[in-house]
This record gives sequence, C-alpha cells and structure tokens, in this order.
Amino acid sequence: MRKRKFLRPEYSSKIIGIVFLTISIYLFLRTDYLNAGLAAAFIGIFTIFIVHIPTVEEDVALAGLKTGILSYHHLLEDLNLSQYGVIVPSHKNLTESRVFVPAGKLESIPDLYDEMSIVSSGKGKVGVSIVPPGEPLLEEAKNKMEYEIEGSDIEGGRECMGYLTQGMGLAKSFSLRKKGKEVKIRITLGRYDDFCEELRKKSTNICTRSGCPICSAYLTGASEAFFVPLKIKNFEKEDNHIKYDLEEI
Amino acid sequence: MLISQKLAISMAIWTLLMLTLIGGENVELFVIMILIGLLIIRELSSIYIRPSLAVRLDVFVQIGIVFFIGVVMRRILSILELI
Repeated sequence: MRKRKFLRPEYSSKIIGIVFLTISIYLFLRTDYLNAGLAAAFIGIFTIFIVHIPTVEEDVALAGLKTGILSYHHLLEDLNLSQYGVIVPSHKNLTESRVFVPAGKLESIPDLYDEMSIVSSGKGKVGVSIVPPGEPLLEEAKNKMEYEIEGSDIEGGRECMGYLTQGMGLAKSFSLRKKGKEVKIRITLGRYDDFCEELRKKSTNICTRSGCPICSAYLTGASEAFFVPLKIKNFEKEDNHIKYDLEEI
Repeated sequence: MLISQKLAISMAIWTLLMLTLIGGENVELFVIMILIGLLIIRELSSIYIRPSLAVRLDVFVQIGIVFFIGVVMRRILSILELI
C-alpha cells in the first residue's frame, strides 16, 4: 500500500527535525538550558540530513525488477526449459557468475563463456546461460565487503547475505548451511513477500530455474562464496519462508 | 524501518542519555560525548550503510573532530597559561 506523502520517511524526518530545531531555538533564546538546546539542535539537524532517500519510488523499483524477471520467464518458457537451474560462479572462461538452465537431464556443466547465452555442447549439455537476475543486488552487497567473496567459504557467504538481509532489507532473516556437498539456504521474507507471491503467480517455474532477483542474489552469493557450481535440487515456499536445497556439482 | 531511521533514533537516544547524565554543566564534555556516539554508530553501521549515507555521517564526524581539536588546543593553551 502506498503511504501518504508526509508519512514517508524523507518527509516525516524533516517534520521531526524542524520540531526539534524549533525547540532548540526556544531553549537557546528563552532559557538557560544550553546543553538541552544543543541536544535538540543536534537531533534536529541529524534527523533532517541523515534520513534521506535519493532514489526512485519503491513501486517503480519493484516494477523494474518484475519486468526483468518476467522477460527471463517468457524466454525460458518459449525455449521449453523445464529443468532446474545451476548457479555457476565466475571461473575458467567466465568473468561473471551465470545461471545455466539445461534443456534436458544435466550430465555435466558445459564450458560457459561470457558472450555465449545459448549453449549447445552435446548431449546433456544443451541449455541457456543467463546472468543471474540478482547479480546487481549482489554487487551492492559485495561492494560493502572488505574482501573478495569468491572462495571465502561459509563465513564470507554469511557476511554477504547479512548485508543483503540487514543492510538492504531484502529479507527478514536467512540461514546458510553446508553439509558435505549439500547447501541449504533458508530465507524469511519481510516486506517483499507480496512481491514474491505476485511474481510466483505469473511465473511459477522461475524459482527453480534462476530465482527472482531477491532469491537469485542469495543463491549467487552462496555459489560465489563456496566457489562451486550449485544445482537447485529442491524449492519450497511456506508462508513467507523460502527453502532452497542445492547440491555442489 | 530504514537503516538511516534506525541511526537517527539511536543517535537521539544517545544524545538524550548524555544530556541526562551530564546535565547542563559541561558543554565541552557533552559535545565530545555526542562525537563519541557518532563514532560508535559510524563504526557499527559501516557494513550496512550505503556510501551516500556514509558520506553524510562522515560530515557530522568531521565537524565533531574539528570541535574536539579546538577543545584540546584550548586546554593546552590554558595549561601553558597563554589564555
């Protein structure tokens, strides 16, 4: 639901800031409470300058995300690719991560290249290689990390996902576990649960192929942290809880 | 709630706490305690905030540091009995 303009953080913060500044002026001019005046002035100025959102409206941003993922969905549907996707980190000939969606039963991952989208390398190696829909979101998180995520293992993966969850607010919470070759990712959605549900109605299969931009950011983060290709084995969604079971290839 | 809102609320609580503890006596100490609060918040939130917000926080920290240098200089001059 769209908030009224004055209830949005960037406006309400300015109203609160102005109230504090007015109180500070009163305290400076009419009373001897210098520290109280300073405190009110500081809180007022801090609130006005810190709570600021120089970005597009949330519904516009979500519409942009939807457009991108629906294009992917239609492309994969038209190509009749129903197999589960494999998230491949940047290695060998790839300079960026990819999602490989095989046409048939996956025998092994073919050689992937940056400039190649349609892959045809023989039996079991035919499919589509696409840039993960969550790559731009993951890039934002990676920029905040003090070290490279590639090969940083579970700790690096958790730190990166922590930024996706707490810093960017993509989800309420997450868990990342690894046991042998199995990787489990659990995501509890918060404000974007409606977005997820709406998207799943229009493109159900996208969750097992590449994931929506939000899930894809987590999946790609895991693949890059462990630095191995991860095949989606199972996907479940109950209420706002998302479960991904992945397998190292 | 946005990260920036959480920062603003945390800083407001810290400032009011310092005001309660210090009272209206020592202005220098009060401002320095606000600076310490800013530095703590800047450090703790560094991984979660966007660069644009970090720059805004840094401006407040830099103003606080300039004030702190002024306080130290004033103390040194008063110890040397130059003022």
